[in-house]
Amino acid sequence: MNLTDTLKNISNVVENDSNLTEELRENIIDLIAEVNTDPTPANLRVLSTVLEKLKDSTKYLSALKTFSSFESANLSI
Amino acid sequence: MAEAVTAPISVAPEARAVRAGGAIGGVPELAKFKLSEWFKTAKTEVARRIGLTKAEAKIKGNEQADPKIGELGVKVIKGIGDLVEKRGDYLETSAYNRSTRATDHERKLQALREKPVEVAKKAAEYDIANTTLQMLDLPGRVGPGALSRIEQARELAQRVIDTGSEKWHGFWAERDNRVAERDLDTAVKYGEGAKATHDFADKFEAILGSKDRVSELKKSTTILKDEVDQTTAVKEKLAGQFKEVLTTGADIGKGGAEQIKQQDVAEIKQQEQILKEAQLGVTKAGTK
Repeated sequence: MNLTDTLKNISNVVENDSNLTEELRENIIDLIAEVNTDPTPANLRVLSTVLEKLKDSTKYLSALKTFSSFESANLSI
Repeated sequence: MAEAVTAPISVAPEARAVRAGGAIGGVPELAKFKLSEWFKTAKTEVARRIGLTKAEAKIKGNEQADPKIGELGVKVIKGIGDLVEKRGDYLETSAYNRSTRATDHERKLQALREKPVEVAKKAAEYDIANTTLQMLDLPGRVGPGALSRIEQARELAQRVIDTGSEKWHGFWAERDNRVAERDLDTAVKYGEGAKATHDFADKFEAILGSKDRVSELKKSTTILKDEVDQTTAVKEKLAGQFKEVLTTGADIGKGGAEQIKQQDVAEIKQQEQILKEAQLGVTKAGTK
């Protein structure tokens, strides 16, 4: 898979990620588009740094979501 | 005249154990303390533990990146930080609400033990008012089954008032007991959840502190230094070539040797690998 395809896939995943706010989603998609237009090593490093942190944070948020689901599960009883 | 409550008022053994100072230190007071302790850490340090602060500094220090891209990168990192904090706030509020509810039900149980008839009647009156409101509010929004259950609860409440029967007082005692146990159980789960989340955050810290991670960071620093040595002309030329080569999948190791330094090729491949890993991670995490 080449870089453009990789970026397109990441962009699609971000677009469908309901854990993110609308503004954050748009900013990430904009960032991916900008880097895709000008994929210098330095620009790619910015994107890879951001995506690594997004990955870590998404895991973290997923964990929090699991724990907070106790609340909704309880309310639905 | 106080009537005896026929149904036993008991709290689940595990809830008792926790209240007495079990796994998370008791519900709700000690659990609150533990939750508070963790959330304090979460709010101030989770961003650091995940590495958001370092990531922001790394992006700002990347002077060769396009300023617009650098600015967007920092914006996204800050956005992720805000998201993490907001989710933490939500969980904290939920946990405290649970804890407060557990306390309320505990008090209610105590009152029921002391004055069963009065408390049962009071609860029944409240339920009649509440279910009446629900019945006025819910039609059209919930199915007939839910309305039927509400109506049933309303009728049972009315019988408590009308008959003053031991049977119905027992029913109310049982019901309150179930609710109290459920809330205590939930409060315990929140405590366990908070602990697990804390452990989760610790793992990130461990990753940041690992030798591999340090080695990776050192490698990035070396690459950055190499890049600074490149001339602007080379960089501009590479910007177009990188995209062409990567999107067409050409063998840049051989054909482009004169124009593209091998170290750039290695790095771009490394960055591509990181992107792929990030994609995999984002995809996996997103499906949880």
